[in-house]
Amino acid sequence: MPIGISNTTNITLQNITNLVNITDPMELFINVNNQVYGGILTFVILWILAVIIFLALQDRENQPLINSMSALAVATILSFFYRAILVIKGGIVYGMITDYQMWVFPILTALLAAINISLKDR
Amino acid sequence: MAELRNLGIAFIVFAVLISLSLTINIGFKTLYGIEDNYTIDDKNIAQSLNDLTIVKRMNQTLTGPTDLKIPTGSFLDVVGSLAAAGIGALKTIASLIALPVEIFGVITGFYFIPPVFVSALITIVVLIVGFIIISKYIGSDV
Repeated sequence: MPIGISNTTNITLQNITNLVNITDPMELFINVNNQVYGGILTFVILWILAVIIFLALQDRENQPLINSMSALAVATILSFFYRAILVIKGGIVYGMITDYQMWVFPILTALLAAINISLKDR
Repeated sequence: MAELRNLGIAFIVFAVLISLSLTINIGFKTLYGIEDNYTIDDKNIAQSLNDLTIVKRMNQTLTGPTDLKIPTGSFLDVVGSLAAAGIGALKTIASLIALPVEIFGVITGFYFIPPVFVSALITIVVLIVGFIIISKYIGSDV
């Protein structure tokens, strides 16, 4: 009984063809994002990027709120770019990121900016 | 919270950042023909946040004096328009207090977060405002 593995897909020629029959490298990324990872790969990658930038900024100066705002601001810019990249396959539009996932970053950035300013002394 | 003034500026910064995000969003929607995945009342989350009470009440403050378009010469016209502007200003200040709950309400509606968090936030806001009022009344920090 395998532990931690469920809903596995058999490797068939059709599955591989769906994945790698591409006309553009970005299409492969979108295919992997949607068909293998269920549309959360880009979102997770953006979060990992934000955490890496946050940790890098923390090394310079220990101010978690401001650093997390800066890190999420970078992720915000990238999320807007990714939202504009779409692929139409078989009449269905696949994107790199959905609206739900995209709006997390700008709203968190704006909330953190509001918190940072409200906590300022003067 | 250092001062209430900082809180007011913070909300303005929040509104400006959301408006900027919305501008970018509208830009690529019109240029690339992208449609919203999910909306509430035909509005995405940034549009919903843009329609918060504070923005509307500021408009009410501004439109109050300009309602004097037809000069009837009545004293009540002047008083009424000034009163409208005053009520608008009061509502703007009041909406500052209610804004965290409103923002949270919009976000929870969009992301299906259980409403228990909203009631928790309302409780926190009521407690903070209560403590501020008690501190002012006693004259020292509680």
